[in-house]
Amino acid sequence: MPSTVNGIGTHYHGKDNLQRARGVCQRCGFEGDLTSYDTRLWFTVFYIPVIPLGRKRIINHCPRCTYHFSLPIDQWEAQRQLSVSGAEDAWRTKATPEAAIDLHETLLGFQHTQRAASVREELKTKFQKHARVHEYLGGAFHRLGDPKLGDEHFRTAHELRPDLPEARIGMARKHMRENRLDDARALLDFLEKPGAAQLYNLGSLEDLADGYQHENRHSHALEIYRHLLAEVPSVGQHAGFRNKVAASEKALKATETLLPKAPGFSVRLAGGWWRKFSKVAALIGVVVAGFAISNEWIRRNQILWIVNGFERPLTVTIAGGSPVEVEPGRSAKVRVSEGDFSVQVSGATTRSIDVSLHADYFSRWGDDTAWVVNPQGAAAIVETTATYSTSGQTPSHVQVHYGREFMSIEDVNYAFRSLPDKISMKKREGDRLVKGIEVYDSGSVEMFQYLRSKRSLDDALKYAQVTLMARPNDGELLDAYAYTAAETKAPGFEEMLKAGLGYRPVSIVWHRHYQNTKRNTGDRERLRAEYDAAIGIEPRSAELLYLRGRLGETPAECRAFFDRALAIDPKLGWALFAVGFDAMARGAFEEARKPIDAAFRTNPREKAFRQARNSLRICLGEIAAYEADLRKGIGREQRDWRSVRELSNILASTGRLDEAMKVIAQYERHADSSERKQAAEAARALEREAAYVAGDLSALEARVMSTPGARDTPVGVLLFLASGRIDEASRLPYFQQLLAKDWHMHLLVSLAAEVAGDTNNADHYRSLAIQLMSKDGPDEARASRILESGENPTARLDDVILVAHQKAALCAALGRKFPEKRAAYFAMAKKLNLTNDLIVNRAIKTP
Amino acid sequence: MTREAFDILVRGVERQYQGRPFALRAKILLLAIISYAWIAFVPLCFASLGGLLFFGAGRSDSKDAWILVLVGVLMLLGALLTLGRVVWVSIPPPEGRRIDKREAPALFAMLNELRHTLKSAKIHGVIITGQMNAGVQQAPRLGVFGWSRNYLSLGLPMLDCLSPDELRAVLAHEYAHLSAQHGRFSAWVYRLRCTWERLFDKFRQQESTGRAPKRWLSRRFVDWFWPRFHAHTFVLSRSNEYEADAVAASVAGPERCASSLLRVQFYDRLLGEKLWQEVWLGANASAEMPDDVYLRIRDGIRAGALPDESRRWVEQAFRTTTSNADTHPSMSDRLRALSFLPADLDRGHFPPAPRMPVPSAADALLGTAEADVRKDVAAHWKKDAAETWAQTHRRAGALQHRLDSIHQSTAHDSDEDADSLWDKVCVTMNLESLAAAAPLLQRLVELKPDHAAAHFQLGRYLLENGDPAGEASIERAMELDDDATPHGCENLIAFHRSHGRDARVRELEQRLDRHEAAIKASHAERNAVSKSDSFIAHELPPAELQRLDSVLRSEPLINSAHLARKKLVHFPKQRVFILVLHVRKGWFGGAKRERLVVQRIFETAMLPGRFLVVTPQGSWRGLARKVRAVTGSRVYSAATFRPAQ
Repeated sequence: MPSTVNGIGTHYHGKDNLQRARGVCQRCGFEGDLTSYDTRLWFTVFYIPVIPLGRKRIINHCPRCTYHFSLPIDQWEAQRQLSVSGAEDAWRTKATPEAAIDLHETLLGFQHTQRAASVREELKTKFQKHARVHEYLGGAFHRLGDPKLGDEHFRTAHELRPDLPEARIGMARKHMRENRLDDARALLDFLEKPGAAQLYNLGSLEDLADGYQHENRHSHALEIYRHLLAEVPSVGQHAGFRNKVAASEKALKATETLLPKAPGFSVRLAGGWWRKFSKVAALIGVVVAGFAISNEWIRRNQILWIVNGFERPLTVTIAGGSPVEVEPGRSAKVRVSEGDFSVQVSGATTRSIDVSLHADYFSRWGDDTAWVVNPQGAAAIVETTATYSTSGQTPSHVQVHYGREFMSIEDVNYAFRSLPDKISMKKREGDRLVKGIEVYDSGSVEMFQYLRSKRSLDDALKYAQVTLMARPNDGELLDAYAYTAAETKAPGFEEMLKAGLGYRPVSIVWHRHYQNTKRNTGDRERLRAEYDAAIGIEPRSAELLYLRGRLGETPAECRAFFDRALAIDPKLGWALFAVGFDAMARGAFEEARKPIDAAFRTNPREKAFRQARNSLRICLGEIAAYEADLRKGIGREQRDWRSVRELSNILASTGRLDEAMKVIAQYERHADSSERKQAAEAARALEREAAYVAGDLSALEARVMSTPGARDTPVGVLLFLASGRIDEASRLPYFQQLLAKDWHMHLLVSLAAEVAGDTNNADHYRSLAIQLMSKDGPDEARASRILESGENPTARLDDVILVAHQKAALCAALGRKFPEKRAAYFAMAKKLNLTNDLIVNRAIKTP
Repeated sequence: MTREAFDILVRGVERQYQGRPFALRAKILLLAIISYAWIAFVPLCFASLGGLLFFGAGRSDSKDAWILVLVGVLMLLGALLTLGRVVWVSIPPPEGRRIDKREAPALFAMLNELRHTLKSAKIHGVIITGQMNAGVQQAPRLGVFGWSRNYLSLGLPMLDCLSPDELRAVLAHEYAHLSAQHGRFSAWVYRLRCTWERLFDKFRQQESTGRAPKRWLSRRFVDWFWPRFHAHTFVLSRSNEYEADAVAASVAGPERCASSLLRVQFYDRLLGEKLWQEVWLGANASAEMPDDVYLRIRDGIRAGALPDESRRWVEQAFRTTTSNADTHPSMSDRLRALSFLPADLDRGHFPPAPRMPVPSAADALLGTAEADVRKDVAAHWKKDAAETWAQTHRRAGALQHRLDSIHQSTAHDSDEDADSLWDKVCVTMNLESLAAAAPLLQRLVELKPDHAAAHFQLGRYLLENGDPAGEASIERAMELDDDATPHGCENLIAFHRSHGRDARVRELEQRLDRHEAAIKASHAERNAVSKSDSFIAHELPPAELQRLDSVLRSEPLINSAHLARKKLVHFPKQRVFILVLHVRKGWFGGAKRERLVVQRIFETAMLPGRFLVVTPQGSWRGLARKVRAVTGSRVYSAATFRPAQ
């Protein structure tokens, strides 16, 4: 059958040689006029016939469902002519009733209605006394829609052969139409004989019973129905028949039924059309059942991942199941049934997490969703989407999840496994996206910096807060967080720090940051009172005593608390560090060595201890040993940027700039392919810094000027300052950033201006430095007073405890202000100028 | 494959493996392996695919790998199911009355003695049936894997008609089938043949329902394989029968073997053509089934046949030749193999009909259990035949009513009365017997000599009674109605085979083969015409040509006409004409005008046969060219008859 989609396809056009004939549609069962005609099949575009595909004869087109047969017109024409001429020839040759009937049927089949009518006339005249011919004509006229003529022929047939079953049936049907049911029954008596079903079709008898029922003669109807049941027992299983019998029995209010027991569902299925499709249906059933079972299995066996972002193991229990232990920084999977349930967590933290795990029915198949429980949201989960192609793997997207206790991540191919270096792909497959998730287990500061640079400050701060709540001893992250939060005045910073004050044992790093936030605010008195009160509660807390010592007004007061702390805990690293730091600030490096080394041993990873120790080694002239240690560290980890920086600066400061450059080049070479660009940028920055430290301003200027963007960097600013080009430096945007609230930088600018002979700028920046110093801590305030006063302050300089490079700048400034004590100040400045700052050096050397 | 081709194949196998039974077995084994390989091909493909999917699922890291596992499981299940259906050939044990040693010690003593003598396999059960037969059946408990139970079925009528010694010969023959010589292998071959027969029937059914083209490859294989396998197993089975006869003769003596063969043949006919017919005629009169049917059978056997019947049946038993429709050789051939064939059969001297033995094997071997056994076998028969009996009884009532109404309503001597007479014949044949309808048939063929069905039934009646005149009636029926040929030939083949006329049998089989091949092809041949057909001169007589000419002349638009006949391969007496008209062209409506001319000529031409009228347009162009090329095809030219133009 032709069909079109949006007007494109095949379609019949034209209708010729149209003929109508009564018939029954083989598909929908419609009984009425079916048409046959010649037409042409076309290929159509928007229903416009474009290409002719051949002439067709449409046969018995159903007006209701359009079902029809179709033949190429020539083939149909050949069949028509050959069949009709064959039947005509047989009739001419034999002239028997059978031949005539065959001809008549053939003619009707090909819609030769006129010729068929003439054949009927011939049959009538030639076989007037032939009962079977009349019986045939009776049936033919009924089919042709002329029941009156048909009935006449049935009557003739019956008159000629009253025993002829077909004639009796034809007559009986006539009586039924005329509502003469008893007459009809008399004619159909042979059908009511036992065994009649083996010789005749009992359809007309059933029609008679239906007629009786319609006339409310139910007892007659039931008699016939009973006979039908006896003759054809299977009819008792037919729903239509059962309904009819039941209707008559109901009308007669019969107490017993003649119907057999109703067929069961399985029996009904076993017969009829269902049987034809039973195999296909069974196969489909098995497949559907298989899918349903697999779906249920998936539903009952979803994987729930538990991740641990704490420093200690977690124990997880789900719905009374066996507990699962999750190591720090690791994940564990648990099979659970979908639904709402709570996850009980104990160990590093104790909490109950409500989980609602539901997947869509159809999405379960082929679903790669990872369901993750992350207690306290402490673990950072890195979601990496990588593109694999023939050229290798390229991470295309990275997302970090933290802070949520329960989450689902869709389309995960590698859950808590590293993405593979290679995957097997089909030959013609272009690229393939693969997603993996992992627990982040590297440096938290790096993650913090990453989030700050790639996402937003808020994300970074939130990550730090979540992580520090789970791992309060992560001092580096706390430093980074505190610095950033203080700098940006992040909301909730103080509350966050206050939360850390309650940790026991006392977390010194948290207290130090808390004190740092307060030291400039004028709340020092209240702060001291807080700590005094705390010491009142915990008098034997070495940590609190040390912290209280940090708040002392004078070095002596500070030292007294530090000593008390050390008396309680001689290995308290921070107290040792404080004692050593005091000695270093006074230039008593030998005295500082013991406490600083002891502090370092208590916690080698503590940045402050490490830096102090390294500075001390430089001050004590242990450069060779320090250099060897640094080289050793770099040998272990070629990409240790901090060690490379320190080594290159040492080499540069000791006149070995070429060696420094080699170390930097080596660092750059060892960078990963994915980090090569960043490593190159870092290497250029290190080179510039080394050149600055080496004091080779011309070389530095060449590097700065040849590198786009290098001017507006700390070294760029320092270069201009050291070169005496104050105005040029002040025009750089980064200049203002450096100056922001930093008295040390103001003091350096002042020194540079003074060396360059720019007295206005020198005075201006010195006064600003003094202002800032006076608002800072007690040591800075003391320093400002010394710098401001006109009297010789040498004796009081020991009371100023500052970081070495700050104190070096202060001494240089004092030396330039007090010519009479210049030698002593400059000597101290030189001693403390560990970083070989050019501005300080030039201030010392320039008259 | 036609009967003739199969006969040639069987003869070829017989020649090739004459005296080489092991080679024949090896060939059958090879064919069996081929068959199993073919049968297992699809399941193995499924199983391999399933295995591959499992392998793929095992190698895959994907969570979706379960889909592969699921599909793999389905495939393996499908493979197992398909394979199971093929290899699990269920042969149920025979139905009947089981008898044990306590009931019939004499019978079991005889069986035991034979088993030890022949070193044969154990019989697990002896079952008495209602058939005129004896046989050993193996019911495998594990399908093709074997582990069979052996059942011996003995027909009660056979026990009635044989003496104990004759029964011993029969039992020795059956035990020989179970002996180490050809027991297991033959049984296995038998089972395999059952499978293939079923498969072959299925394909034939599909072919008849038009579903076969979808399995073209399978059909081709079955068409190639089945006749070959059948022919080889056929030859093996037949040689087994001769071997079993020889074994039986060595144990029971050739005389007993020979007499048992004749007795079984004779009483089988008595039962089939007389005793059972009498029993079933009872269904017309009574709805109640008789309880003593096997007593009646025994009494009928004791009473024997009428002399005329006896003579005819004995003669037919000896004259019947071996055919390839049955693995059992004819009685004559078996007797000849036993060197016990009477010498002067060719001169028409046949031995007398056998008499009822005293005592019979039933009397001697069943002993006191006989009455119980007879009752139980009758009860089995009643159970099996109850539905058919009831149907027959009801049908008889309806037929009687129909017969009465025909009697009441028909006049007698008119031509139209032939119709009611035929109705009467049909009812009488169904209600009583063909013999009862014979006088009516005689009258009908006199009244209406071209009544094919009447000639056929009359011929059948005459042949059944050994009257050669029946052949002429059957031939007349086949002449009048092609559709009567298959059944007509089958009746004639049976008649001539029972008279030992092998040449005539072969001739009829060839005729039947030809008819079956032609019947389908001829229908297509007569109902389609194309340019690829061959055409010959029309050969119309002058009078017909003159009439055609006048018809064509009545159409002024026809310029010329050509007539030819399609060359028919099948039924060449039938004629198919092609009349090609050359119609004058007009400016408009040419196609419609041509169609109308064609229609008018078609309606009036009335050529003696089928014909097709076309114009050389469209797809008929090539056909018209071929018709024009036939010598003498030009039957009309307008210029000839219209001098004005």
